[in-house]
Amino acid sequence: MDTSKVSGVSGPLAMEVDALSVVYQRSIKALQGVSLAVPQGEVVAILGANGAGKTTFLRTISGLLGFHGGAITSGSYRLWGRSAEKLAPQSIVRRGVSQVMEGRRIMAQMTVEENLDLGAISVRSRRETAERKHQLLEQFPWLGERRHSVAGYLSGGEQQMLAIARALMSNPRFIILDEPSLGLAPIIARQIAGIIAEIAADGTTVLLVEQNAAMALSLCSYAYVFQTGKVAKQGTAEDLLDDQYIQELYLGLAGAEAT
Amino acid sequence: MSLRQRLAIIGSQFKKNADQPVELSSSRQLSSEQQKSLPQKSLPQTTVTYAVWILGALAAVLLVVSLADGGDGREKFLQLLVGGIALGSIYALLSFGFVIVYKATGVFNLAQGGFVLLGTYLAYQFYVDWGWIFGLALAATVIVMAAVGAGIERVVMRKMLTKPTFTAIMVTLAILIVLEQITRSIWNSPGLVLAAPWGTGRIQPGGVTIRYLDFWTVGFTFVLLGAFFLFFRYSRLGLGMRATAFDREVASAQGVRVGLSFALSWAIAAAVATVAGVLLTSRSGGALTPAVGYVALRAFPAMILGGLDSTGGAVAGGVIIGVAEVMVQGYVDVDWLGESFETVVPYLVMLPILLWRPHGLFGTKAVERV
Repeated sequence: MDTSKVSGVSGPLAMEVDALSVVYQRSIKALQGVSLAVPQGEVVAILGANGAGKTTFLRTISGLLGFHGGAITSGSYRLWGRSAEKLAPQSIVRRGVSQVMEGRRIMAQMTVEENLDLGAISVRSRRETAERKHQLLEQFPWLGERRHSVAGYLSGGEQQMLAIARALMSNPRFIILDEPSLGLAPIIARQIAGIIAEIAADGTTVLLVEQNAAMALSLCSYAYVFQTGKVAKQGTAEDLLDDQYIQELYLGLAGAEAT
Repeated sequence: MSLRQRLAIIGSQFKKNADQPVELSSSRQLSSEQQKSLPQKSLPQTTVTYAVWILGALAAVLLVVSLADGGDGREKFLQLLVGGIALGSIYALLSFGFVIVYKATGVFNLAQGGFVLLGTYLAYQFYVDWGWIFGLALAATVIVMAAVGAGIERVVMRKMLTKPTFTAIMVTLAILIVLEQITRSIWNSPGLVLAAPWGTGRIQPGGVTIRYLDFWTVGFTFVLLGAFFLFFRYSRLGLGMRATAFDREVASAQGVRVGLSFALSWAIAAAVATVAGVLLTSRSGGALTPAVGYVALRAFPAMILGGLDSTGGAVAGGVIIGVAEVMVQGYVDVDWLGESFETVVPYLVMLPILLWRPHGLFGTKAVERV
């Protein structure tokens, strides 16, 4: 396995992306030469404004670009050292990567339990699925209480937790979360942050995309800042928290210096 | 609303949140608006709704008839009802096939009639020409046709997924014509007969004549559709197909092989079309004509009545249209309407539905485009 030079953390890499470029409809450049590394067992965050290319990046590493008419034009993408640019989404899931998509995207018409079963659809053994479900329902007891209710009736925060639980059903080694706090009350967002911290504490590698930079930087060890399809800045969480640019643009501390 | 009032409301909401920080499972009342925005169809109550609709429709017809007719009216009515349900079963199968493809791939599959045609002639080949026993011949036909459906999806329609819907629908029209020409060129001799083994026998319990054919038609449909409902409800593949229908990108991100779901939907459509074609031929005494494919067009009204994206609605719509058609055939006897007026009935039912309830009886509101 490769060792990371990019992030300054030595150890095996869960994911390594090198000079990746992505184009939509053969003409719109969404990503231009993005390089990024996620060390095994770490929490890495991606910050950036709307349209910076964060979601495109996640689509790329989940193999979902085809749904949006996008394609990789150059660069390489590796999962645990093995090339992954050409993998179909289900093969990426089988390699142990699971994504919680932006906007939760739960199956609103299905029951809570069916949503969880869907998360484990790539797991061949039914017994393993049942055990995993049992385990998750203990971890999220209210999910157990509502396992037969239609997922669309859950509140936003509950749906987000269901989406996370669904992603955990395939027992991933690497979980990707796209804007998990979006549209949620601050108190619920804090609970979500707590869950992410727990997932990371279990040894699962986490890639967190967030507009809520304060939350992201409190969870991650290393972060990248995307801007117009490129990595504009990167560094450890402490470095970025001290960075004046980050403070002004993402932490809402603008004007603190002036007064 | 003044700013002060607004702040007060926001403040009270925060307080509410602070009261129950971890208690997420507290039961919530949904506003009526929220409830409306939710999809209606897979809620458990909707099964009841289906039943109420069907029973309501039947009761209405029954009422009209009992008012209009005396004497042996009851026998005649029951007889027509059974015949109507049998014809409706065939429509139900066809419209189920349409809906499955529509839900999975978003395409209105005009090639369904081609599947009916090719499937029926293939069944003739196995059963009559090669002399296989009926059950085996039918099973073989269904399997071959499912493979044909899946193959067409994989080779042609898969490439249409990223194209505009209109283009895809035109391609299904092309497939229809190709299938029709293939069938006509292979089985080009006229006067072929595919006589199903149940023959033309009938029973007469209490003066009501019921053909064996009607039993078999309803029976086949019931078993087949029942099997599919169980498949979608309980199997992993079925779960994957439902997920694909709801949101193919999310399904894919969970590890569902969406390509397999697409191919399966076409396979199912071709399989049910075959069974429908064989049953339909049997209704017309076994005489095979290429016109059997056009009956698929009469399943359109059934699908529109039920709702484009509702499998349960497809079945209900099929039965309602079938009963309406047979009832009109049995009761309406007006000279100036001409003969075979009943063949227009499905479209007459479809018209007001398209005008006032374009999403059908059981469809999702957002799906209105036809």
